[in-house]
Amino acid sequence: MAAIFDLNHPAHTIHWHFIDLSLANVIVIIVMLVVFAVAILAPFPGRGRASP
Amino acid sequence: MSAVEPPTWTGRLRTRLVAALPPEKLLPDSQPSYMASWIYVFGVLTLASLMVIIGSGTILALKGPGWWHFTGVGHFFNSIHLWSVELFFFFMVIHLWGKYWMAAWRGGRARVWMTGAITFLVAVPCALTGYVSQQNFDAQWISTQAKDAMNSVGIGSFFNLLNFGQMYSYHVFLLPLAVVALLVAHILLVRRHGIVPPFRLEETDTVEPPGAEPRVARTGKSLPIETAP
Repeated sequence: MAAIFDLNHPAHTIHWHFIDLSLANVIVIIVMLVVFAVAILAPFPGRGRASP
Repeated sequence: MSAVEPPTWTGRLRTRLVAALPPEKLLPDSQPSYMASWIYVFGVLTLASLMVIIGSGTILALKGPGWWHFTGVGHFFNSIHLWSVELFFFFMVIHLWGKYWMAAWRGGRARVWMTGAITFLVAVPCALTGYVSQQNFDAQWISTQAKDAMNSVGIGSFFNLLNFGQMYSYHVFLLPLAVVALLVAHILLVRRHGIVPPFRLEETDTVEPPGAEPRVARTGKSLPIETAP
């Protein structure tokens, strides 16, 4: 990962009122919310197929 | 349960265990049709991640906490260990969100919910003690900063982050043992009570007319949707 991203600096942080999060953590939280939404909305393979 | 009480304690224990969790419930070969949703996958993904964590952690423990600093193979297993922990929490939090919005404690499943929630709470210090077991400046920095948090809440003398031996023991034995024990209880309770049905299905099930066709699971076996006793 270090070869892809330059990690030789302090972490980027996002400030909003009392909330103080690193950009990496914000990205992970957003990805989790997206995966959660997809897990609910995406059709499950075989759902609704008639049973043998 | 048989009418005659077995004369030995092992017999009585077996009778009670089989009554509480008969084999067809312990290892079911079909599930209710409403389980065909991606949101039900995250529990087993969490479990799979934990197996990778324990496997990679066992190798790291066998070779010692400093091994990964000077060998490529050690670094590989350290990375496997780190990223499986990241995935473990990633999947577990989505599993928790899903179960929260399903109100998965319904139908007598309060203990299922509580064992899951406590497992999450115990898994957090289990992972954090890993940060102070790295044997590098990162571990040194984290332990010196985090000890202040422990002291501020009055548990610094019981949980001393500057004591590497104590932290390493917590990380590789005590806390993983607690996580695995809670997880076993959680899974057995899920098996006993069944997965929580969606809100609407549970409501319609209770008003299903007598003599109606039973719901059919995807595996083709008839499986009435159960609510916990």
